[in-house]
Amino acid sequence: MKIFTNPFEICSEKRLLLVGLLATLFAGWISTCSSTLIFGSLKVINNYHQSYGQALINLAITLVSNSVILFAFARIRYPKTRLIDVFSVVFTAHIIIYILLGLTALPIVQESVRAVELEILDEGFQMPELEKIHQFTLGAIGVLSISLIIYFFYLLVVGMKIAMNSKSKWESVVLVLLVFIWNTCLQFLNLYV
Amino acid sequence: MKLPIYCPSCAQKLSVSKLLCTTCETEVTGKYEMPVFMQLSVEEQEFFMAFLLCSGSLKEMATQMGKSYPTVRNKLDDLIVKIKKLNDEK
Repeated sequence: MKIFTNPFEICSEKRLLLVGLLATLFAGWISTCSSTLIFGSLKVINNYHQSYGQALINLAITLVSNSVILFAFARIRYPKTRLIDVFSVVFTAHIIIYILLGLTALPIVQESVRAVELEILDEGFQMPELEKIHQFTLGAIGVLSISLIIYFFYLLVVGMKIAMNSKSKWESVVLVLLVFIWNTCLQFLNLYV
Repeated sequence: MKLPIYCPSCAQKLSVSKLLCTTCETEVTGKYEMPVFMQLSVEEQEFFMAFLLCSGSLKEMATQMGKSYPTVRNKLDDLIVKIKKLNDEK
């Protein structure tokens, strides 16, 4: 159970980093196959065609920039913070976002999203009517996505608190805000290839 | 048996007032302060001993305890803070 609630307490940083790296390589492949992009840590966009190399570069932009921002904050608060610990936290937490990416890439979800797009194109935003199956799929994916994003933040905060030996609650709030703000900035900067 | 550090009645720090030789049953009474090590919790004392036995290697300790390196380092940092506080209280 601890592996899901707090893997950073029981697993070595090297093992977590390795798992995170393997998951990133797999996420790059899903990204390429499904033409989806993790646009910042918290957003997945469709119809973004990219090669496998480009997908990995895009993932690296998100992962490395988030790690550097969090490391800078952690280093200010706790000078003994190590970069490898921050990297392992960021890479491990992003596995949850890769699951989100995988869900978005599912054919049934893509079909439902396409149905919404077509409905809006045909009928406009006024009273778009969807089949029950599409309504159910989108509803379920919506709830699951929100749950996964909450879990992503939970892992990130729990891991960072260990990496920077934090005991205060306000630092958890700052960590969440930092990730929110930086990933919004990433979307505006649009460094993706 | 666990040595009580705090008074079960008022929660204040306890001191040693009586020592006993278990061989000849000589009793020494007085008012002695507990050493810093004894003022730590059992878990902290065990951690301290493990740290010594691992020659101060946090990596080795992490492996032995089945915990990650930063978890063990944080525990040690907290222990250092506590020992400094106990020393200042003297």
